[in-house]
Amino acid sequence: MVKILLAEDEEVLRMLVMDTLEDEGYDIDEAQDGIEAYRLIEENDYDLVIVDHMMPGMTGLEVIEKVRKLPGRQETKVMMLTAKSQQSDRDCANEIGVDYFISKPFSPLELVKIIGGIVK
Amino acid sequence: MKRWFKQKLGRDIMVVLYSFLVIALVGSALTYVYIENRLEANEARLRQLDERVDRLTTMWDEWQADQYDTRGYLLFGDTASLERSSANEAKFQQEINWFKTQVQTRQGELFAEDLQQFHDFYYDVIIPVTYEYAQAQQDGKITETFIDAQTIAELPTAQRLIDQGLVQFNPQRGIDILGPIDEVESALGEYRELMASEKEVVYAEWRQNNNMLQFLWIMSIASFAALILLFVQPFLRRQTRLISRLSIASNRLLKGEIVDLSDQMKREDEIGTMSRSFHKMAETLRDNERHLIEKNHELQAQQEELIAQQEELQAQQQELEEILEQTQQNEQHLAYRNELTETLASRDSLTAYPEIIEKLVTITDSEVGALVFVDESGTYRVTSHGLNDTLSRQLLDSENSVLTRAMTLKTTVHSSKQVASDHPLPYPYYMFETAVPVHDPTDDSIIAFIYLVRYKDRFTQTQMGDIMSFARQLSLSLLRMRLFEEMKREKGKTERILDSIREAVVYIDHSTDDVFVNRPLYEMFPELSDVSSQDLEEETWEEWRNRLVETVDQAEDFTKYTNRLFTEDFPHDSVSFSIRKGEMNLQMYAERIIVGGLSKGTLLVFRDITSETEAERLKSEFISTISHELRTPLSSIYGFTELMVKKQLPNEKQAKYLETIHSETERLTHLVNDFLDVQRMESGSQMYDREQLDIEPVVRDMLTFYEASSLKHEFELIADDARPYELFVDCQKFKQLMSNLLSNAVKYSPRGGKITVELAHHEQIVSIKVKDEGIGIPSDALDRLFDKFYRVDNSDSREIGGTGLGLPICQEIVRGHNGQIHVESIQHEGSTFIVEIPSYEYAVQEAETTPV
Repeated sequence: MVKILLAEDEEVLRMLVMDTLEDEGYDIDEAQDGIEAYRLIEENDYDLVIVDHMMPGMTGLEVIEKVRKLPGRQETKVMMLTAKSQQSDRDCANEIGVDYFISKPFSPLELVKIIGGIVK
Repeated sequence: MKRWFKQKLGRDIMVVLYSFLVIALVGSALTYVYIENRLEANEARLRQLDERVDRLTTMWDEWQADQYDTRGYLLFGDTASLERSSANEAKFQQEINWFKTQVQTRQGELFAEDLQQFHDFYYDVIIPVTYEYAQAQQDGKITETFIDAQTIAELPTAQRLIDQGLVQFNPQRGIDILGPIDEVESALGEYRELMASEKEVVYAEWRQNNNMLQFLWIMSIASFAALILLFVQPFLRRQTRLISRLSIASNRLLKGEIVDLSDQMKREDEIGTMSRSFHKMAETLRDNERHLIEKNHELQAQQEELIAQQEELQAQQQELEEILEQTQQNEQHLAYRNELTETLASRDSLTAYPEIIEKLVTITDSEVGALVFVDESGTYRVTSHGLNDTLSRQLLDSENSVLTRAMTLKTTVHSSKQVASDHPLPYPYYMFETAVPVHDPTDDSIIAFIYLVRYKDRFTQTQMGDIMSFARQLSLSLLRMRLFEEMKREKGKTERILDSIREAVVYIDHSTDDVFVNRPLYEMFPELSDVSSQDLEEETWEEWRNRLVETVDQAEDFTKYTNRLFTEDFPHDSVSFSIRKGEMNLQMYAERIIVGGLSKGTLLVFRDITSETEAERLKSEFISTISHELRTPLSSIYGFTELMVKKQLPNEKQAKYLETIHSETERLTHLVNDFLDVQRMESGSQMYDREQLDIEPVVRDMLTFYEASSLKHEFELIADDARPYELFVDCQKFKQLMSNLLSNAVKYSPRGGKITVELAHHEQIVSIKVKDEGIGIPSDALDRLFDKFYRVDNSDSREIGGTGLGLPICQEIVRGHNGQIHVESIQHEGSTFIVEIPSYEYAVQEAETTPV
């Protein structure tokens, strides 16, 4: 079973993504902030990590930066879901090790398709 | 050779002495060696003789002992004695052999032969016979008590010996043994005597040699002494005589007598040299004396001549002194004129008028003088030298005074009058006056007069010329000064203007390379205050640029721009940069200052655009924040609607989604409203619909709502007063105010905690305190907290969303109700926002008394 972590501080958005992906049969963990997200990634080997950028505790980028230094987490696929959509933000995210960059607002069905492509 | 001897004193005597010394030394040495050899030979011979005598004595003694041993054996049959005696044979023979080898004389040879014979006899005859006799006695063959000669002769050995003819038979003794013994004893005695006599001879010879040595030694000393007497004394006498002659001659010379040393002068040695020098000296002395006498005569003549000349010179000097005095006077005059010209040309001429008039008086040989300035209204201002009040009054007030006349005639006026007074001179005198107008060169109007007075003579033509030229100079100087003053005023004005503008300005003069800056530049670059202003004044633009660039963060941009200043590629754009690591943002632009088609200088202007840059930054940050804030609710609405449209969903989910869409839309509306509020505030068009409002139930409702939406926080309302907390406010705006404060309290205490709202009455106001236990606000951020778009930027607050509009809106609302809002906070412990709004009663009272 494909394991996915969703780190998003906005409850409403968390619900949106969760509902959409659960229908597709993925096993999903939730994190409400950056610190929790980092802890979960440290403990579990996810097939995909979806992070928001603006989160309390630690930003998404900070989480990924730390995660990439963990043993066995260099290859973990990371998708960033963010309201920041400027090219400079994308470049910055790429450099840190974000594999996919989705800007808000986004289409949940499109997201499902992309994730399907990634974890297949 | 002979010459060589003559060249130096004592050379002959020294040669003789040295030769004798060498001969004496060699002779003595030879004699000594010869005598020494002789003595040594004597001593050797003596030693040899002594040794022979010693050995003989020893030998004899030993032989005697042998004999006794033999006899002992014979008498007592002591065989040991016999053995000892026969053992001595070899030793005895050895001694004889020594004598044989050592003998040098006939007597010695004979003696050695005797000894050998005796030895042979003793050991070949006596010992064997004795032995046999003793043997026979022991055997008992012989029993006689006394040795019988016959018995001995009958012994076989004796018999054999007699037969051989080695011994003679002696009827008394058997064999003749005493004969050889006697012979050898006598030989020994003879030999001893011989030795003794020989010793005597040698000893005598030794003594003779000794005597001879002593004699030779004494002789050599004696001959040496004799030689010294013989040779040295006459030599010394000769030399002394020569020197004493010289001494006598020098004494004579001292006395001035004529000296002749011609015989001595021919000599080649030192005496000759001395004599020749002496002779030369004597001649020189004579010559000098002659010369001196001649000189003396000459000098006397010269002295006479000199006295005559001196008299003539004295006369000339007097003449020269007179001329010098004249020249000095002229010089002084010139110096004064120079000084005067300099004073007139100097910048400080205004204050130097007394000096000017004083010099003018001196140069023109006047008694009294004054500079009279005329201003536009026709009033006089006098700077005088020696002018008393009476004269001054006469001059200025009298209608007939030269000044008045000159003023009227606009030309130079002279006057002369006889003065009956005895002051300042003790007798009546003439007074010559002159007034020379000084014209303004621009419009030819009279600006001043030079007034001079003399008592004795008129002013000469030259003096008048001087005065006129001074008048011209003065007029030029006054004009120059006026221009200078004007320029200074203008410059001061420009400086003041430049200093008062907000921009910093650097002006680079192209002709002098001087750099002028205004005060704001120092304010913009306080680092410049570390350098003394004197140093800065002398610095070129290049040095200034190096100083400025040190503080610039984007040094490369700055350098690139300023590099273009003096090239064809003059920059017409501007450049922006920050200084001191972003402390200040500056915009710089350059202008060429062109006067009459020529570029006179370059002007660089620095504009402080820090606040503009900051505003720009805040605005873009605000837009980015707004965009972020809008995107979140938009994402939810977009996502849920898509799901509802594109997917089959159960009813309850649909309902939930719809509800979410609704609340998110509401959130969007709030955001847009906030934004609009800000816009309204900025345009100043916010209107408040005020009403009487008891705020306690309003606040309580709101707290209940917040309590429901946050699990982490605990809410409390403190409102202890029985009186209602009534305000005169716009209800919607009040709710917005409280909602902003409460949602901030929740947002900025992400770890939860207590949120307290406290209402209180004061004299004329009601205070509302909203207190949280959150992350607090850093003290440096407190001042700007209510600025629009401002958000505290640190790791605690960065992740907390917000538009940066909440608090500015709150402040606007509070101010709109004549209230105040402020904040108290300790970082990491929490914040308290305090709102103070006039109470309803007071607000209404105020509204009534204040005319609308």
